[in-house]
Amino acid sequence: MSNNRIEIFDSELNNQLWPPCRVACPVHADIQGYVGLIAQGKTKEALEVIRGTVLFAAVCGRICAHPCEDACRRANVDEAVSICSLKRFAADCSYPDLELLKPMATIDKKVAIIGAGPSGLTAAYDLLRIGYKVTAFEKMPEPGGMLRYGVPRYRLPTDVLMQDINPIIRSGLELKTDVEVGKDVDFNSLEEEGFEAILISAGLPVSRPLNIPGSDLEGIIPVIPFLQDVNSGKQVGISKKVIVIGGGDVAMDAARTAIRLGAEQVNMACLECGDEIPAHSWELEQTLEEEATLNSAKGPKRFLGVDGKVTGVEFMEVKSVFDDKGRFCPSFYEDKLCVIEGDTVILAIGQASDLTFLEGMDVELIDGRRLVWDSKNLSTSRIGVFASGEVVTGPGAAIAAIASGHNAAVAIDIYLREGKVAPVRLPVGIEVSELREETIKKIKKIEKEEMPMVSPGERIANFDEFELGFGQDQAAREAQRCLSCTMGAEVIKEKCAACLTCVRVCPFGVPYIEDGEFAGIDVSQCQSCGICPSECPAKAIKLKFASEDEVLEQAKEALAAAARQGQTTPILSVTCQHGYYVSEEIREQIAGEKELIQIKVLCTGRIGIDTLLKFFEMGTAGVIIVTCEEEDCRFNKGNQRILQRAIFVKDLLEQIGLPKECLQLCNISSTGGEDRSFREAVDKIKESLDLS
Amino acid sequence: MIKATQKPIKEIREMLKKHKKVLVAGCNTCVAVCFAGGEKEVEALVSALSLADKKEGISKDYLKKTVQRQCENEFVDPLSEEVRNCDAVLSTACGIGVQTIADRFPEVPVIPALNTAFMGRVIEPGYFFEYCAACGNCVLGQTGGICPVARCAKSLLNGPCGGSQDGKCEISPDTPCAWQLIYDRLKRLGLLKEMERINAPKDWSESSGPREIRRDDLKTNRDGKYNLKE
Repeated sequence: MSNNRIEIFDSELNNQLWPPCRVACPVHADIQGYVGLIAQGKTKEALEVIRGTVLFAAVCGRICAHPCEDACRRANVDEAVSICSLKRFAADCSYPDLELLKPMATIDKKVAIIGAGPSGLTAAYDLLRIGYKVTAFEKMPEPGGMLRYGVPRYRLPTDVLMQDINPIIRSGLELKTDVEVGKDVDFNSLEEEGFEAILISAGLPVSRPLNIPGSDLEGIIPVIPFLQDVNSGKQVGISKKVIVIGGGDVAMDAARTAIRLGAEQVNMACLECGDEIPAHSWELEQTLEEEATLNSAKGPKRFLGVDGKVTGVEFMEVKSVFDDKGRFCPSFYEDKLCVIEGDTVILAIGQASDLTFLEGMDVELIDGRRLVWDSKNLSTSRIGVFASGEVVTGPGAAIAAIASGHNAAVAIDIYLREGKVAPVRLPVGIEVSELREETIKKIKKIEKEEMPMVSPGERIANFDEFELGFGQDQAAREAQRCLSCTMGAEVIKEKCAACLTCVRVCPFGVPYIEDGEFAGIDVSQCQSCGICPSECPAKAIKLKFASEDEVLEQAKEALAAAARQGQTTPILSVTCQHGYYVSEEIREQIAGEKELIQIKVLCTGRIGIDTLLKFFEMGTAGVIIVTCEEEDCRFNKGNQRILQRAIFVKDLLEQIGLPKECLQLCNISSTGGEDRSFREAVDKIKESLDLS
Repeated sequence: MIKATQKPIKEIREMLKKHKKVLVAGCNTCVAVCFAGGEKEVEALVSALSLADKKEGISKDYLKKTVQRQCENEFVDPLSEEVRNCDAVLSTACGIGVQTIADRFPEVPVIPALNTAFMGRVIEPGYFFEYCAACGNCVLGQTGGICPVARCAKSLLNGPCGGSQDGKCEISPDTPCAWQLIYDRLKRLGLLKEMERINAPKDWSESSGPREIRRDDLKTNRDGKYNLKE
């Protein structure tokens, strides 16, 4: 990394081969990295990886639009990995001792941030890390922007949001809430106060009005103040029949909030129908589960009222929403009309910015409500004033606002160091190519873990979070569905003996003969099972993820810990992680044996004969390999390979004069219940070593 | 390629008895392909030896280094630093590699960790079979591409013996009779007439050593002489 820039801007990243999830993620989070760690039960390390790009881990673990999942290659095998829920799991494990990244320097320059939403706070944290002094001005009483005042609590509880924001404040952010720039502080005075750069990340706090006849009737309310009041804890009364106009996620939020407030009938109406509906499919699905009614392809014609109060809305049937060039241009059947009755109408048809504080401030605006802004360098028309997030990008996912915040921080850093505005862009690696049909066929299908949820009937009674989050076992199992794209085996050509062992043992048929000379492994197809590196007689294959060296390191640490506790005859149990999180029994048994030291591996097939012998060389008295049942192996053949290798190693042990019984194998399913073979394996080792 | 197997640990340890600091030198070509002496096998062998030593309370140092091909001076010479620091070299190469080490480092004893077995091929993973005896006078052209010298237990040159039963050799029910294979193959090729040819007793002089090949056109020294040490 050069120039003290934060790690995620390392230009070297542009040259790396990336899994599709990482490419699709607006901040290019190292998804494969943290999912892989969760798969190994290393949740704390996973959270550290997540926080490397997204400080809003608990937030994004809940409300992210997760484009990563849309790109996931497992979708070609069965279903995409639940990346978003895995992130939530890691964040929810909350490690209070997890250290924040320290500032890289101390720079005596001040930056002002207007709007403490996800974009502004992300930029603030990055700037604090680089070493600047940062002050955020927030007009609301609490930070978080729309996350705090827009997203309903049942999707994002306040304490969860603050769990992500507090570290930013702890990092030294000067947060001024209840301070509105333009009212409490003059925009131009910021410079006088010594702020050398200003970031406008004020979001889109205004609901768009619907200018049709009757719009001044009582009972028609814009969505943002509605959600804001509810989220602020104000007593918000709701009538019995509610109409929500709009088809986006915010409309869903409004409908579901109304239901929770006690509305008996919630009718949603939107222009679009079917796949055109802009809300995410899962949001719509959950809203319908909560018994809101969707009226699609309906365009509002006029509000109906009696005595100045709204009583319903008249709609026209929609002909089409977009023109033939795909532009928003709704057309209607003027004669196909219908009326929906309701005494409250919530308008959720879009949001706009509020930039009145910039009037006469030498910051150029278009129509008084859009900033003149360069998306490449994030600068406004006034030097030293930058903008990021929805105020300039338009409505979108929180993660996009976060990405924009990262870019803004770097743009500001360049400006403050070099006095110029320069284009910035989060580096993006090269996307790995698609899985081939023949590879897909060989990958084991594994059912996706379902998010535990409160039933619709129960959840509408309150604003409690209704998605309950994965438990440890569920999270590990879900993470183990990850195909570890791009993290597979790589041939070190100089060492390759061209023995073709890899070509012959790969359960996925990936290795091939390259240029008629060496083994080649197509990283885009490799499943990282670890079988070929552990078989390669020339040690000419490296595994980028969960390698044998990592297994040895784990064993070494575990044995050293045992030695510190005075264990002289430790027995090492090496358990397949894929089975470990399925079998409660094995965990109990291992926990019950005091000589047993445990390590876990993502399939025992990655342990070669030399590694097996090294376990003994490191000082273990016995080794128990716990594999999955033959047909259960995640990689088809991993458990079979270790069985064969064990026979060879047992022979060597005998030659050395050690009892061959000190290496035992058993499988997960035979460890619990009536079959006590794990227990027997321990006994056999002890007996052979005269320890019983 | 050359096929080899590792010697029993006991035999290797016996030869290493007097040595305290041993370079275990691997070879990443033929003996790697047959899982006897490549880098992985060196790792496993050193672990096994260390464990055996520890069990008997013996302390020895093992250095590990694997070269691409132990039968080439240029690959072996870079071992000199390690060899200097050792009192013996345990070579996991074939006999050629062992002797190359002996030749390049005459001051240090070299000990073979393998028994060099034969020239053969991998029939399937874990199954290696002899295919050529390097007799020096190839007959494959007459025998349908199947070598009776290497693959017939008696190296017969004029058809099978009475021990050929149901296509198998009498030495083992798993071993195909080479002459049965030759017959089947020639039949398929429409060349059964080849079977009628009577071969004269083979000239075995080409198959005993020391054998050498000299090619004047490949010499690199200016005086036109071969640059042999002995």
